[in-house]
Amino acid sequence: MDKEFINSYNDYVDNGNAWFNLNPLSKLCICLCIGLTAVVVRRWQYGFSLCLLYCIAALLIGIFPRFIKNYFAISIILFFLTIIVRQFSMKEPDFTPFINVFGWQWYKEPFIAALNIVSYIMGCSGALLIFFQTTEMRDIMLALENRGVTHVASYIMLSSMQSVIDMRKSAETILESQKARGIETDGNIMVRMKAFFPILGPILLSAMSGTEEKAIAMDARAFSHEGGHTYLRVLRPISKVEYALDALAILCLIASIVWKVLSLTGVL
Amino acid sequence: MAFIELKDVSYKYPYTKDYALQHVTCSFEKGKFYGIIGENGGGKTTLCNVIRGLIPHFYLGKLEGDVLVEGKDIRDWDTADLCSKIGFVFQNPFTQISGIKPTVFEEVAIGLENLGVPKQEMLERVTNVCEQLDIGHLIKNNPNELSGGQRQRVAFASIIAMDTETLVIDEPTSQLDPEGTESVFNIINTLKHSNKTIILVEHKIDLIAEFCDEVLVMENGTVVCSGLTKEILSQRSLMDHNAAIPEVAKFGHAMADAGKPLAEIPVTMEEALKLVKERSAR
Ligand SMILES: Nc1ncnc2c1ncn2[C@@H]1O[C@H](COP(=O)(O)OP(=O)(O)O)[C@@H](O)[C@H]1O
Ligand SMILES: [Mg+2]
Repeated sequence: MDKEFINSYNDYVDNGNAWFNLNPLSKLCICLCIGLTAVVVRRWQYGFSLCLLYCIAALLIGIFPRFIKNYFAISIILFFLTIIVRQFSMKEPDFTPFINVFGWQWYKEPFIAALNIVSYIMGCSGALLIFFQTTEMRDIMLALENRGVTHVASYIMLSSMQSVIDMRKSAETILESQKARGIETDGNIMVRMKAFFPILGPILLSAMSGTEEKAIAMDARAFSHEGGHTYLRVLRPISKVEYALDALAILCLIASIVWKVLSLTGVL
Repeated sequence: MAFIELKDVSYKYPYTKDYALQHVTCSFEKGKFYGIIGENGGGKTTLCNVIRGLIPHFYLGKLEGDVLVEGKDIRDWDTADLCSKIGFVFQNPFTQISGIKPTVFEEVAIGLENLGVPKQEMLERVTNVCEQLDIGHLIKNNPNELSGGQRQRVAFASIIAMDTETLVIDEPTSQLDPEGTESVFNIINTLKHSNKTIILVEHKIDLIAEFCDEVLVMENGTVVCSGLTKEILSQRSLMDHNAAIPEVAKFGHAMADAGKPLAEIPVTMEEALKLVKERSAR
C-alpha cells in the first residue's frame, strides 16, 4: 500500500502552493473584498488594472491556462454585448462621435460607460474565478465545519454536487444507448432537445430512488452520531499572515468606499 | 443471553395491507455466524431492518412484539448508538458510497470520523482494514468511479473499520459479477475468523453451507425452520419452502433414493468427498 499517501494525512491538507493552502475562508475574504472594490470604484482604468493583476496572479499561482480560458470567454461575451447595447440604449444629441464601424457611428460616452460596466464585472468575477479555481468545495465545507457548521449541512452541499455529476453521467449513458438504438441525439438544438427531454424523468427518478438507501447507508456509517466528530483531513490553522492579508483586503474595500463617497460628494 | 432476541414479532410497512413479518421468534447469540435464506419477498430484508433498528426508527408502520438488543427494547435504543453495535451492508453497491469523499481511503474513514475516533487510531484502523480486505491498491482512487464489486468491497471496509460486534449483511453479492462476488466471499471468509456475530442473507446456498453455524429459512414473512446449518440444509423439504439446498445435499438424497445411501446427507463439497470416499472404502 502507498505509505507515503497514507502518511500525507498526518500533515495538514496540502493543495500545492501557498495560495492554494490559504484557509478557504481567508481566501474568500481576500477575493471577495478585492473583487468588490471594482464594483465600488466602477472606473474602467481601475477595473482593467485589476484584470491585469489577476492574470499576473494566476500566472504566479500556476493556474494561468484554465483561468484565462474561462476569463477570456466571459470577457469577450460581456464586452461585445455591453458595448453594443450601450450604443443603442444611450442616445443624447451632444455625444462625441468616436469611431465609425462600417457606417455605424459609435459615440464616446456610451463606449466609456460600457467599459466601466465591463471592467467592474470583470474586476469582480476575476477574483471569484481565482477563488473557485483554487479552492475545493470540500475544503470550503471543512473550513465552515471548523467554524461550527454541522456535517449534515456539509453533506447536503457536497452530495448535491456529486449528484449533479452522477446525473450528467447517467444522461450521457442513456443518450449513448438511445443513439445505439438509432434515435437521433446529435444535430441542431431542436434534435437535441427532442432527445433530451424524454430522458429527464428517468434521470430524476433514478437519482431520487437511491436516496432512501443512501440515508440507510449513511446511518450505518454513524452519520447521526452526536458529540465529537474527528477529521481525517485537517486544514492548516489560520496563520497571522492570513489574518493580516484579510485585514489588508478589508482595508482596501473600505478605502475604495471612502474614495467613492468622497468623489460622489465632489470632495475629490 | 442472546445478543439479539425477537419475540413474536410482526411488522407491516406503512400503507401496506399485508404483514411483511408474522410472529417471528428467533435469537442471535454472540460470536455465531447466522445465515438467512428463503424466497424473494420472504421478509429477509425486513428482518434485517428490524435487527438494525431501521424498523421502527426509520420505517414507520406497525411493529408488534418485542425486539431486544442486549436485553434492551429496540424502541428505546438511540439509532446513533445502535450503529456502533450493529454494522450493516446491503445489496446495492452504488448507494453505499457516500459520494462526498474523493478517495477510497477517506471513504473508508467516514464512519470513524462520524464516531469521533482520534486521528492516529483512525489512520491505523483504515490502513489495516484496507489491507485486510485487499483494497490497498485502490486507496487513492475516487470511490465514485469504481466498479460495482470494488464499491461493495469499499462499503464493507467502511463498515468493518467501525469494528461493530455484529454485522448484518443483506445479499451482498446479488448485484455483482462473478469476480466481484468472489472478492466479497473472501471478505466474508475473513469475517468468519474474526469472532464477530454475523447475520448473512444470501441466495448462494453453498456459501451458507460453508460458513454458517446456524440457518434460518424464511417464507412469506415467517421463519419456517431454523437450527444448525447441517441439520437444516440437509432437509429435502426445504425445497417445498422455495429455498434451495446445496447440490451435494441433492446428490446425497439421490444416492439414498437409488438405494446407495451415504452415511449422512452432506452439505458441503468437502463433506461429500469424505462421505463418498468412506462409502467406496466399505
Ligand atoms: N419499503 C417497503 N415498503 C413497503 N413494503 C415493503 C418494503 N420493503 C419490502 N416490502 C414488502 O415486504 C415483504 C418482504 O420483503 P423483503 O423483506 O424485502 O423480502 P426479501 O428481502 O426476503 O426479498 C414483501 O412483500 C415486500 O413487498
Ligand atoms: Mg431482500
